Amino acid sequence: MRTVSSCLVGGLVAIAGFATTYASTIACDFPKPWSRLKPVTHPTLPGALLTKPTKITVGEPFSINVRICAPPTTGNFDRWTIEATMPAHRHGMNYRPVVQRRDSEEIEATGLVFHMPGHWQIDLAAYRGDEPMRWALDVHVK
Amino acid sequence: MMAPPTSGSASIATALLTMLIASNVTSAAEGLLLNPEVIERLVRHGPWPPKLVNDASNRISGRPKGIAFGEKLFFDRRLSIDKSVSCADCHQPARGWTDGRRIAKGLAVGIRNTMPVVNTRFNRWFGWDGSNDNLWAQSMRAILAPNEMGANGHHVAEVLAADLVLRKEYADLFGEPISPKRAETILVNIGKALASFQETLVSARTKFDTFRDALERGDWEVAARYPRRARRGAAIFVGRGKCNVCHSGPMFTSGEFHDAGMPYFVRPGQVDAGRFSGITRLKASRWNLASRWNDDPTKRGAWASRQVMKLHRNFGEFKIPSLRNLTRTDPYMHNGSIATLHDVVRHYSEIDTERLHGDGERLLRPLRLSPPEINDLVAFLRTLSEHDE
Repeated sequence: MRTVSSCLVGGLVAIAGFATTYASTIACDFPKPWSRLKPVTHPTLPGALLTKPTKITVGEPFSINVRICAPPTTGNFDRWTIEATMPAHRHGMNYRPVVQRRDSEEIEATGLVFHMPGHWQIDLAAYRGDEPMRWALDVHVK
Repeated sequence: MMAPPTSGSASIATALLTMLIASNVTSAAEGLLLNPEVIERLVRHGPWPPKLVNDASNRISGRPKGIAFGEKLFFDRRLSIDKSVSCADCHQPARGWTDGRRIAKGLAVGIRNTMPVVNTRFNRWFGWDGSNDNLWAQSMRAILAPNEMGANGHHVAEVLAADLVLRKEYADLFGEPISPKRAETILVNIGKALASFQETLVSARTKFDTFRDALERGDWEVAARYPRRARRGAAIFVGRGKCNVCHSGPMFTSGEFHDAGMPYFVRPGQVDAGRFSGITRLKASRWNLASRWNDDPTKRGAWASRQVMKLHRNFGEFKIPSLRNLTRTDPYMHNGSIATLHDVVRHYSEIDTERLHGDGERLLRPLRLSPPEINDLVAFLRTLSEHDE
């Protein structure tokens, strides 16, 4: 009996592992110009970001689409925060982006403005309850 | 008989020729005292002028009759409550569209230096504190401000009603007669006429623009005609000085706000909160781009006023002014406290970062320029003016 239950458990774990890997492989294919996000918290789902327009102009508003690789069982995040700072200058943006959900795996944030040229870091946080999952992306604007 | 060139020797010849051309370009650029990175940064300060686009929020923007009507009103002192002050009294054409005063004076002395009304069509924010997000509301502000023209919609309506020519021009332009019951509408329409005139005030191309365009197309011969002192100053501006971080783009301003180490005390007991109070007024304004007075049905410009954040660091921040056409707009800074361009550069050269209140921000630091470097930077700034005197 122990042998049968062990086999069953082992089989279920294998199937779950295969399903996760399969889903990750298919959903996490981010072709250019998508940029992979750098995970900040661990563990973190893989994700990527796309800016629109693809080339950011200093002082002009742009939007971002963010896609997270989430296995179907994971569910949606409750809310998102998106900020950006210039690490060398220690200041952020002057405008608060507006975030909207596009579908279960993608959000869009509009009204970002990088008002100075240089190195910016976009910080993203997605919450389920009070627990955030965080990512970052470095952007250099000329 | 020579053997035909092989593919290998052809590749080597091509590579050698490419290197020769590149080295000539590099040495030509070096002869201008500029490296490729500096050139790339300078090129981003153009082209000038930018593409001219009519203001969708103002239905008479770009219309010749609206511009002519607005120009007439700009010089008309009857718009002020006691008929003694016009827009042009503070924004004098011969004075770079400012007044030469440290602090503006309309009906009474204000608290800030007069900003020029040139190139305003390219702004996102208006005024030292950005309390308006469009030019017609900014024009109305001056009409209403007690220390400027001290008027109101009813007064403006009466002035127009009493003048046959203005009354007819108004009716032709806006499709309705002057009526005392439509005082606010008349005030907004007058603001739009004034704005449509001011949109025509675009500064001319300068020595810098000729230089910048030559750099972009690699015309080193034309670029070499730009004064050597100004070239050295340009290299400081986008290099060690990092002035281009705030004074960016073709307008030489990001259009945003910053603490430049200038005191914001006006007099004992009074401070000028700058952008901090400007955002409060902006969001409360009846005439911002989110209002019903915006003629653009999509209200596409309203996003900025909706999404701008009021931050602690905004206290005492003032608009980063454009550096175009500075030679006639002295004195400088939001409080007119700096008399000359040399003094402005010295201010940044010796800035006391302890006086900055940017919440730990690390942006400005003293440049420690030598006297010749200060002269070079001023020489560069002068070439941004159409009147390089």
